[in-house]
Amino acid sequence: MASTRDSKEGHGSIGSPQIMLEELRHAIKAEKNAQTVMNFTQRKYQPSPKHKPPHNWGSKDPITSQTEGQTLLDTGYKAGRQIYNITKNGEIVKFQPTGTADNEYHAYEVTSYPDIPPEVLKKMYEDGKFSKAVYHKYLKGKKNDDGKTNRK
Amino acid sequence: MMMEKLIGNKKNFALQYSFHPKSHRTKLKIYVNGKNILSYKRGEKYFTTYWDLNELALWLKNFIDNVKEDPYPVKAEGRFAAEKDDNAREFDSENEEEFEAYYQKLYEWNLRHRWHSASNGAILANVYFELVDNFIEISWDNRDIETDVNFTNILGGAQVPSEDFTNLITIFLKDYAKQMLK
Repeated sequence: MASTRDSKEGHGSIGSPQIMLEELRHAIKAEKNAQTVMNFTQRKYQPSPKHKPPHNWGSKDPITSQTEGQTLLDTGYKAGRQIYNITKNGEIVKFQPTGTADNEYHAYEVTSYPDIPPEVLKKMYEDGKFSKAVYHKYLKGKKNDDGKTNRK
Repeated sequence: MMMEKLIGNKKNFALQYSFHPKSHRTKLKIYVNGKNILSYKRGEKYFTTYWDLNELALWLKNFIDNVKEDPYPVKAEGRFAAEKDDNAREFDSENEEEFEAYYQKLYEWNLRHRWHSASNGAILANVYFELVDNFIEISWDNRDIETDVNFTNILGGAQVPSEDFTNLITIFLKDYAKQMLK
């Protein structure tokens, strides 16, 4: 059970932003360095239980088998550290490096299409993954087949 | 038991968070005008964002470091960024180059003002942040996020004094950085 306390901070002094900056930079840089080393080994699809039922905290991973996941990862479209692909059911998934030494990636369904880099969508379209009409729809950030967003 | 820390004033703007003792997971609530804008319902239960927030922390850091007036890049109806971004996506053109350039512009503006691309797979509300005069306008549009999740606050926005926003985010990031180094 969690308890709360008002730290009374935010009403006056905030400490040293420079220290915070250095601490955050250091922590994130350490993880990024680990990623750089990992990228020289073959990528491996490793589904995360955080993206599968009954967990309630993460977006779902719609990939149904290890084989499917590995194939999608191997043939995916790279954008920065992430890799995108589209499942046989038309779900666009994003592979995220997990930070392990084995160069593992877990996946989850992209739930907001404005997140997808336009160059990824263009390459998918040029590779025949979907039609021009669907490409335009996805560029607009819309998902549903009827061109409308999923609104109640 | 995880100790939750509250900073700010829930009635205006506040953050409430706790860190999992053995992982990088952070439970985060952001209150705007008394409402946790990260609250969602899945099944019969209510939750808030609880995830590894490295990417989000970096995004917030970049935002406060580079915050400046940066208006929405195309003409669009709406009071806040969330509404403008939705209305702007009705644009069509027969000219493919024009069409792609238009949405590329929106994508780049979104990277700077909308944090969802930094979700890292978390269930995360679709929130925009924009400096307007001396206020950070925080707006949200959760109509199209997640198909099996219902966010408590669907569409809305509010203004927070820029200094208050920056101060509280800085405190959160400082605590987050300390936790990361453990």
